[in-house]
Amino acid sequence: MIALVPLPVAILFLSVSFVVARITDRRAARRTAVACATAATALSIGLSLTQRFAPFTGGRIGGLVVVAVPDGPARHVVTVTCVVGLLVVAMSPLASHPPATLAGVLRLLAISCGFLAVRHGGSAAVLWSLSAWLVWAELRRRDGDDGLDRLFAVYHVPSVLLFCAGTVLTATGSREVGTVLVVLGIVIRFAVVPVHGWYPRFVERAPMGVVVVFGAAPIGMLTQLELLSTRLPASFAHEVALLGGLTAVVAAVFAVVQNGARRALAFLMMSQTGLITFGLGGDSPLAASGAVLTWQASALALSGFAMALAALEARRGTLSLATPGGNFSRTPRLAVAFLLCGLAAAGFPLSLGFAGVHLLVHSSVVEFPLLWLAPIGAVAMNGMTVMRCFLTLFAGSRSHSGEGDLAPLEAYALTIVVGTLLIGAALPVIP
Amino acid sequence: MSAAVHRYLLIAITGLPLGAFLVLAVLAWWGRRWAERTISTVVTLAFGLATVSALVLAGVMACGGERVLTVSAGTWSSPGEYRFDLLLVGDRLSISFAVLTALLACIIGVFSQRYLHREPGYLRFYLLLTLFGAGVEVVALAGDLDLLFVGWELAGLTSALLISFFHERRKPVEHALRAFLTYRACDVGLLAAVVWLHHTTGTSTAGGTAGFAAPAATGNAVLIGVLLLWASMGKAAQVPLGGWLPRAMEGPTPSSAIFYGAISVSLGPYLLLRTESIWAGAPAVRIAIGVVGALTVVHVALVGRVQTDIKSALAYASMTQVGLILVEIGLGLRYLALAHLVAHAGLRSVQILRSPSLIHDYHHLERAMNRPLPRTGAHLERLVPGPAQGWLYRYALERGYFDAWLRDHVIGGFVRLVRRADSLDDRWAQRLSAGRAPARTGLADRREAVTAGHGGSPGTRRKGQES
Repeated sequence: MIALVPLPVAILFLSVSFVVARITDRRAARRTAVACATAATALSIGLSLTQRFAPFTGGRIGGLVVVAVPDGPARHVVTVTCVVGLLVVAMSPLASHPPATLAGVLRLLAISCGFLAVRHGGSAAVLWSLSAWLVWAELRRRDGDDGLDRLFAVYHVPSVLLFCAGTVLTATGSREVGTVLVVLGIVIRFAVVPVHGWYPRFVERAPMGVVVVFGAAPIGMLTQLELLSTRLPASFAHEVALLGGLTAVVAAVFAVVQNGARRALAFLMMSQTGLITFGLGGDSPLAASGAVLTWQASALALSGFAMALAALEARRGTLSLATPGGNFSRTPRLAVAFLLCGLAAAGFPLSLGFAGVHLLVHSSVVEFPLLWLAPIGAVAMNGMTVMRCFLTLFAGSRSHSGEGDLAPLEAYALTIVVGTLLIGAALPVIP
Repeated sequence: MSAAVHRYLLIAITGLPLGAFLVLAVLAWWGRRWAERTISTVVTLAFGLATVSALVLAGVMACGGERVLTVSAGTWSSPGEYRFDLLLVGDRLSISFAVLTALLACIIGVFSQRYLHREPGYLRFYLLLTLFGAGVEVVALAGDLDLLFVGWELAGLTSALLISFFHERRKPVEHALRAFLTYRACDVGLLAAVVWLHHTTGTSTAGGTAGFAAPAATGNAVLIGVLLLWASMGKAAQVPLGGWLPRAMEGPTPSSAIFYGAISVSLGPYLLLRTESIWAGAPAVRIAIGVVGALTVVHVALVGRVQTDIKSALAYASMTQVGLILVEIGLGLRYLALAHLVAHAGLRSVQILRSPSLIHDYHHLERAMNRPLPRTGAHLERLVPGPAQGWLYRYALERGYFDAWLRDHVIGGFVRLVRRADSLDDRWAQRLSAGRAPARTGLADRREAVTAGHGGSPGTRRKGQES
């Protein structure tokens, strides 16, 4: 299937990435990237709205169906991806995100949109490999001699190989074996327990923008949704769901006891991914809707949470959760955005996350009589982690290092994300 | 009066505080500074009008002989067979609690105008008070347990944020975190109960005068009842989870009055009263509620006697009364429990609001009596044998050893175990990274900022900050 709306968005991201890579001034590069992400967001919304008033009837090119916007669960994914991209480029600390890194971020966004534009097994395998290679190249380019690139490769080379081999096998007729391999590749990338070893270090040490965009890419989620819902026996899908539920709980437990802010974030992200995997493995449309809605909410909320953390880190240095040591009055808007995004990720009421988690929880009780408490427990503990992060990072100290509140670009991006999360809660669009 | 007016009155009880919160919050986000008087007027007006709406509705229902008023404010989402209805129910229980909440919030709003005058967090206080009031009104009037959960969570969040109101001190922040962790652990019970009820009966919506549908199997009713009891134990600060309540008094006095003297601690008993139709057929649940309440009463009556500051003493007094209310609920004394709850909320709020003037009040009283106030508790010294007095005194000072037990054996042991597993996990990742020297401080985003924070040039620092 070829979708027309994501195509110009992907081209825009890709072309601007080359421009940004050539700019030497970091601020100018960021301004250009923000302008590009804003235009991409406007384009994705505008083109989708145009489709409502002047519907495109569709067609066929070489056996591929051509539509205006992706249908079903992928309908809003391109807009979500663009908003995440806008947030990332607007809030990336200048120190750790030189123009080359920003260009890499834009290319990762282009890959995400490209996947939505061309939904085909072969293109998915290529884009999957490309995104992993881009991140690996970014890790290589860093001057940190901590072996992170090697660690990333240890996990992602098998992931890419499994994905590609699975795609080939599926295309040649061995659908079940191929699908199993593809799902295994996805599971590694989703950092599902026990193949998660790369993820905490990746979040701790890689530039936050790269972490967020790589994590928010919808490739794994949509591919898995298609495969599990159409080609796999229910028993395997249930095993995947079981792994997801396990990851959600284990990661939530690990997150709540961390003393490093970034490591806590890593496990929080893993827990959310586990919840999504849990929903994708369910049989019912309600579970799938919950999983996709949770992905949308997580992509926005966790991106906001992570980028707010990166912004605070850039102002204050190493962030510890061992003892409260922040001053709310210095950065009130950053603190509020941090809390709102975190709570939305943890499925707190009056946020978009609540809608997704609520559907997940309600659908799980029918399908998994022994496992339905897992998402409830995971969500509760994720809320604890968010509150612990908020209180220890933004309260508990009279002294401060003179840090300032949100800069205009940061306020602009965070307002859009927080607004989307809150308005999305009032008017949830169930996929 | 027409049904439409009833509908608007019921919606106004929750809608007015929520609307006031939204207006203040949006303007605060955009940096709009309002005068203190304007902020407090908006909030007190919202709660005042909500009180009037609730009273008018109560009067109209009483005159018309209506026992239950059910109003749908729409459907929030309905994917497939599942529906989340925004259903509000007005009956004797819910309207009483709604009036109490709105009235107390209005009074606290007026009181705080002077009490918090020129306090840096003035707007924050009123925002959180308004959100709390809106959340509690949702809990009070919710005709669907899913909707009740929304208000329940809002009340918990605002409670924790108000405990940490004086955010520059470490202790309030730690106590806020403790309260939130307790709430969250107990909220698992409420959500699980809602989901299981939905699963076993097909709905979590109240239907007419019968209340919520009860599961056919007693086992399911017991399970849901126990989960609801667990949920209520967190908010009501019952044994062994009540250690957060005395610590929660670190917040401003007006918020302590409405949260821990009146409304927030009453949410636990209210939840049990509201959902009585679900577990009424399960005697085991009644017994469990009564036992928890009775244990709490005995425990906090002892511990409360050795408190040396008035707010802690009042906190334990609140816990005692809430425990008694649970005993009444367990015994099936529904209306006594409701009357007790309302009376306690009103009295305790006044006591806490007066607590900063305690010494002045004592002097005033002693002058009026023309002698020192008599010592209390002498009867206990006569009743309790000598050797037991020492043990009980130690028990009370150590708060029944519950805090130490939770900290050292339950939570502490669990945290140590998980951290050990995390350390092994990290070592595995380190080994896969070819065993190179770990560089935990060499993280990309931190490097330059740390330099800026420790003597970096102003330009470098600004660059980090503008990030």
